[in-house]
Amino acid sequence: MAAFAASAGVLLLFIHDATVAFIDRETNATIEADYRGLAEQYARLGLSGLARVISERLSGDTQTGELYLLIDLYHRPVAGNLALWPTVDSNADEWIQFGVEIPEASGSVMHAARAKVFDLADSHRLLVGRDIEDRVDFQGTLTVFLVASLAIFVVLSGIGGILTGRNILGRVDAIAHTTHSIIRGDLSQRLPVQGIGDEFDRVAESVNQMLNQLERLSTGMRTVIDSVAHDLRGPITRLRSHVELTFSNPPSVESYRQALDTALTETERLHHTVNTLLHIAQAESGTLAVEMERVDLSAVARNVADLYQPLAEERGLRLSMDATADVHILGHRELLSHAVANLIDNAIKYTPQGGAIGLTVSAAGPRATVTVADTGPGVAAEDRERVLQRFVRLEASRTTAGSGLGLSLVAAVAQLHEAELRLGDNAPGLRVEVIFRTAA
Amino acid sequence: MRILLIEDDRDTAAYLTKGLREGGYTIEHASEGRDGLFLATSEDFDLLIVDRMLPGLNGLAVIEALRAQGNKVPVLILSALAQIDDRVRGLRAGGDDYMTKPYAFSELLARVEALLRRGHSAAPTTKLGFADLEMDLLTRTVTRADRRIDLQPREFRLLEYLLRHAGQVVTRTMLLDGVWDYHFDPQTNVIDVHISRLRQKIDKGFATPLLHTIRGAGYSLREDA
Repeated sequence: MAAFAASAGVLLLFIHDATVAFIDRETNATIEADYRGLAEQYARLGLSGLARVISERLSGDTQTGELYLLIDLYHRPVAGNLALWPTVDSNADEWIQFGVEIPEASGSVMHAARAKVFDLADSHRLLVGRDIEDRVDFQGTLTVFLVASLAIFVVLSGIGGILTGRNILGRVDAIAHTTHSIIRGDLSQRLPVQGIGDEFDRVAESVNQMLNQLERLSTGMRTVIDSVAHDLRGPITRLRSHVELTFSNPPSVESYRQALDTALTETERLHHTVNTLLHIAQAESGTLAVEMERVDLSAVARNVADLYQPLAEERGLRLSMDATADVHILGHRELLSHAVANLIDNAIKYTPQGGAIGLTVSAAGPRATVTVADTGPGVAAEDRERVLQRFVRLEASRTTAGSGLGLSLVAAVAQLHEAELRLGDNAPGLRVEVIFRTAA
Repeated sequence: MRILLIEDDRDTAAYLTKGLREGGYTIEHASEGRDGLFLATSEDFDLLIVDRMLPGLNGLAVIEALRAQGNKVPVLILSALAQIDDRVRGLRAGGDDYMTKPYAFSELLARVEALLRRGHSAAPTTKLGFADLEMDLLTRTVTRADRRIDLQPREFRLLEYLLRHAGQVVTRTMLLDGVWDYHFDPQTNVIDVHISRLRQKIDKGFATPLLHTIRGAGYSLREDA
């Protein structure tokens, strides 16, 4: 602020001085030109001629404020419109400034005048000047105008500064307020964006994107924990009740053996659940935690089909495969295999005897699609969106035992590979498509 | 057979020592990385079981130090780390097998047996056999009592794995790992179906069944029931 005002002051001072100097130069030039004219006349016509020329000039219109005075050796006026030689000490060829009395209707007023004094050959002196009262007035007006400008500038920039400061402070306060809400745990809050695309908006938009990702991760994390609790509680409860029941019954080797057998089965189930959860957590943690490499999707599909072929046949299902295309993506072979295995596993689980399951890998331009289609009951159109939503939330169709985590893993793996997971109608049956981007 | 167990968790160490001793092995135990490395370099062992997270010197560093000295003793890594790629890191460091906690003791026992056996038959073989079952790895043919048995490529690899571990217990995860190179558990036990198909081909019509299911553990090629 102070720096602004100071620089504005310096600028205005410069304008003032330059203008005044310009006006002075103009006046001086006029006076000198005037003298040169008179000197010519003097040289041609002599002293009396000069006096006559001065009188002639003064007899006309004197609105331009010419001032002349020609005096003799004894300081007696010979010609001119000044009554007295000004009481200012001066030598020849010197600029002088003095006051003159100008008669007006309401009496006489003092005007500022500027003149130059010339010594003539026969001890006469000539004064050629101008009434500069107008110029002095103009100078005063200019000074007042410039000082007023400076004042207005200082006041306006002060107000502007305060308003800008308030605006910035307001926005910083809004950001701080939102941030505090987020710190207190409300991840749904977002920084205000004014939509004018300034620096604050750009920062707010970046932070909001980060918050979206954080909220998604935190929701994912919470649902993973819910899933863990759900999937572990069942086997643990059964395990515990079996042990308690065995203790409360009369002891026998047979009942102990049976209890241990049950316990082993339940721990195996727990083990499997924990391993699957770890895989999901791994896929969810993103590409930084997983080493991605070039993977042949067709080979992945063929190997999984090879693993499940005997099981499908045993269940009276036809598992057909079309994965001849050479399709490479950037991915994680183990997680991709696990995901495809889970899709086939589910298809086998839900498709009634005599049905068919198709596993296809196809490529079209930059997209590679793995499709698992079955002839089971499928998922109703209105439920698909919801089921997909629940995939992401890792709560997939828990109504059928054992399938929930499997589909959650598929969703997590798809997300890790930035692939799109789609549910469709196989008419009849379910058609699951995972659409990847191909690698070069 | 002498096994060195480097494991800092006292309960786990006690349980593994007891179990392995009952399995007929001699166990030395170190509860710290540096002590373990010192024991492993100063004495002869047939196998090392190393926990990944150890006080002092971590498990992978112990293995790397041993390998740098040219020590080729088989190493089984135990890990509680969840990351799937940790397995790759463990094997790269010089481990021979990798197990993630929680694991079944039967699984550990089977893998210990497999590693000890592997140390003995390092030479490449062209023929594998067990009882009257024979496999030619060059012509890719299988016969039992001179009768030709036709196998699918995957069944061939499954039987090859079982033959290489004949007499030992082979778990489902070992088969998934060794035959399919998968390290996850499928939701349904698909391996059972593969085994029963193979059993149909190699045991059906013969007096002595060779391919046995070991309850709660896995499978085994055995002559006795």
